[in-house]
Amino acid sequence: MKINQWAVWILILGVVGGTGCSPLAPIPVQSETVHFSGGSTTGPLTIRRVELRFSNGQAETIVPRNGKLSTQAIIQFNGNGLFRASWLVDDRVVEAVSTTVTFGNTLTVDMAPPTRLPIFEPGQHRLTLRIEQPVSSLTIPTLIFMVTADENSEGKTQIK
Amino acid sequence: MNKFFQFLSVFVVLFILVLRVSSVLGSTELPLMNGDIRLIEPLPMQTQAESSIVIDTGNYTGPLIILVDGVDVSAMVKHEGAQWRYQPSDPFAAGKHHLEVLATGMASSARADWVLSVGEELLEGEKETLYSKSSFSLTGNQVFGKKTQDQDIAANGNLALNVGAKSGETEVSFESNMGYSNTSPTNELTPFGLLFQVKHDKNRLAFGDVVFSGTPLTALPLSRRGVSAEMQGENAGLQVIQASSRTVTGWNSGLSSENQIRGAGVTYHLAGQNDQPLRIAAVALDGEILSDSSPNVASIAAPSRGSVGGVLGSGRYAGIGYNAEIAASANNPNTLSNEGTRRDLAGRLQLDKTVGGVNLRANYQRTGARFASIANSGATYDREQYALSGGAGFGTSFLSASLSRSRDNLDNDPARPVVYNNNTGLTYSLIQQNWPALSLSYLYGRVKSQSEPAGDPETDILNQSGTAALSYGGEGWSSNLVLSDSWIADPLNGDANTRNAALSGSLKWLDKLSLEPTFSYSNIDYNGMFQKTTAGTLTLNWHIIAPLSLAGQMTWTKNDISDNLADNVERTAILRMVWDISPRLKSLFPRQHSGLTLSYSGDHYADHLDSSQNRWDQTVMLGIQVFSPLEGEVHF
Repeated sequence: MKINQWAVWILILGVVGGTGCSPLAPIPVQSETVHFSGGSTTGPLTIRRVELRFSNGQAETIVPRNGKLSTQAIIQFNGNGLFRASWLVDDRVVEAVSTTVTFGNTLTVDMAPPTRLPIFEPGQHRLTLRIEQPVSSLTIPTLIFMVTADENSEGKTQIK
Repeated sequence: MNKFFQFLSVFVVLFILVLRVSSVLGSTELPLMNGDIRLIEPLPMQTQAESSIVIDTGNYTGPLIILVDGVDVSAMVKHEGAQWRYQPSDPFAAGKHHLEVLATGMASSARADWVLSVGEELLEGEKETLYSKSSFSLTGNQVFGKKTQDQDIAANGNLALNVGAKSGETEVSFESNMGYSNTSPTNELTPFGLLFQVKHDKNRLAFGDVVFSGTPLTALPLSRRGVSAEMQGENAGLQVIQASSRTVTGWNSGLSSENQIRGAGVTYHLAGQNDQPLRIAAVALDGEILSDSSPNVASIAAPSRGSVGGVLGSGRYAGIGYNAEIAASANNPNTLSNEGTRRDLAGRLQLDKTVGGVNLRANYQRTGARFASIANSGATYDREQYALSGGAGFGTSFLSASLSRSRDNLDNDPARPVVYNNNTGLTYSLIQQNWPALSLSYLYGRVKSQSEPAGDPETDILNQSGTAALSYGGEGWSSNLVLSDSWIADPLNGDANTRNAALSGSLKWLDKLSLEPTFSYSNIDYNGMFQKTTAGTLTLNWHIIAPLSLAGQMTWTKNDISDNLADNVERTAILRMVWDISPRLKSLFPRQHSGLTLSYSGDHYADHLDSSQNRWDQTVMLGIQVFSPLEGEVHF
């Protein structure tokens, strides 16, 4: 049976919107997740270097089950043009990124705050950035995170 | 099936072994059982002077005599169900106290006693402590699914080791992690994380994954494998580091002869007027700048070597905050071609002052074309930039504005264009109680070349973007909506228009159910090519009943590019049901957290242009998970 995804989304939004909302409290707006810095500008967009890292600055980390985890890509490039990519966890897309690069040589892509990495499954998981445009011959590195089997308490994140 | 039983046997043995070890190691933090009488509070290692004493006697309802240092305090004991609480009128004095409990009406174990250590200071003769804050996590799964075929068993384990010893102000500790993944027939042992430390007072010698505190122009917090020494006085500090320039993995020392970074940093705090100290930091680093490969880096840049040093001062004077730095670097941009050493300077100055409620900030930075920051992959070079920004609040509104101008190609290299980038930004926020928080921003930018290499066309890119963000939330729920539209006019490479919409939310219901949906839509018109990307995720966590919980994430991505370049839809789902069996094992293995799991993973990909790419993989896993802290302390 084919499921109508729009109906699912409408149902979800209806549930969210129809819930009691008192007392109300403002929450911060979403922060910028793409940053640029200086360098050459002309010519088509080409990628020279890609670095992926967790907040500990390294390629591996451990996180408790249901903890919080984010990652960052630092991309050095020449030229300008369209940049499209997807964050993948165990080959599954968890977030799509698209921006137009017009100036600079370094593009920093933070995982957007709403994105939740699937860290409810204990064990080892792989995280990478699939760059769809521009096409590059670089082999993009893969980060490893280990989810332990212990439940994380609210606000207590153990990232080593 | 033999393989399965072998796996099962090994897993069960490991399971019991881990639980037994954890029970022994963790026994000091558990309610101490002495026959049928248990000491609930205080835990021996957490005893504080103001602590009360709580005894649990199970089904036994009395009478009970409690003696503290031989004094009968039974008359001051409150009896609540199976628990007996003694709250002393004065805090316990620091030192050792003898607690004795007599259950005169109990059939067995009518007497129990403990020795409590009160206060932070250890007792005479107990100056040394051995401790463990380690943990062990193990999962094992039987996998069912056509994709797996022979790969029908999967196991994951992780040992997080954290052990140490303390003696007075001196502490020695060791931390490491070892991950193990077995998806037969593949075995993978991934040791990562390594830190051995010797600390005395505020001084520290560390070996392993050390962090170096640089300055913005030299190396911002640098995490690498190596050795670091820190000495900290009242106003001055010194850090010395020798480490691998690469982000390393495994248990390699990071001290091999190649790819080294060596550095030193000194900080000094001058207590100035009005308690606004001047901080001076001097940093010098030497080593390889870019490696061509490492576990998390892909690069086509050749390795280069060099050194960099910087002096930073920051503080506040006459109401003006300042942060200034001067740095110099010398590097060989390609050690393979031996191009020779290049030297250059960089400097920056930041000032901020509040005038009439308006917060003003000014920045200037100049980084030479040949300047290189060691192991700072986000470094900016060959740029001079001025920036002014200010912001002020008006009741529930906040308005901020920024202006910046930068120039690249500082040496007027005729082989490259001289490019200016001018930007203006405006942001308005409205945060009013009981109303959604609103944020509007507009950015205008222009990238224009002043001169170009002979024969090259002029660069003149106009960039405008507007963003609106709306946030709303209440008790148990929150939502964010962000809309953005950007227009780029680029005569050289073509115009672009990008529209993004992102909706995200979070819903929690009675701490039993949480749903976190996200939905994003992106429409790009780039140089005549159209692309629409739609993506959604739904993450759920549902505590169905006390021992049973369900977690999962579903994603949906649709990608459509004009001219038949792409047209595909991918749906994935992971659902995981856990039956918490910890309570049933508590009496045997009190320290563990264990669960039986049933997981489903599905991945459906439909390519509307090339059906040979279509796939539909489904996997079901039946497994067990165990987590066990391996914690404890021993005083001697």
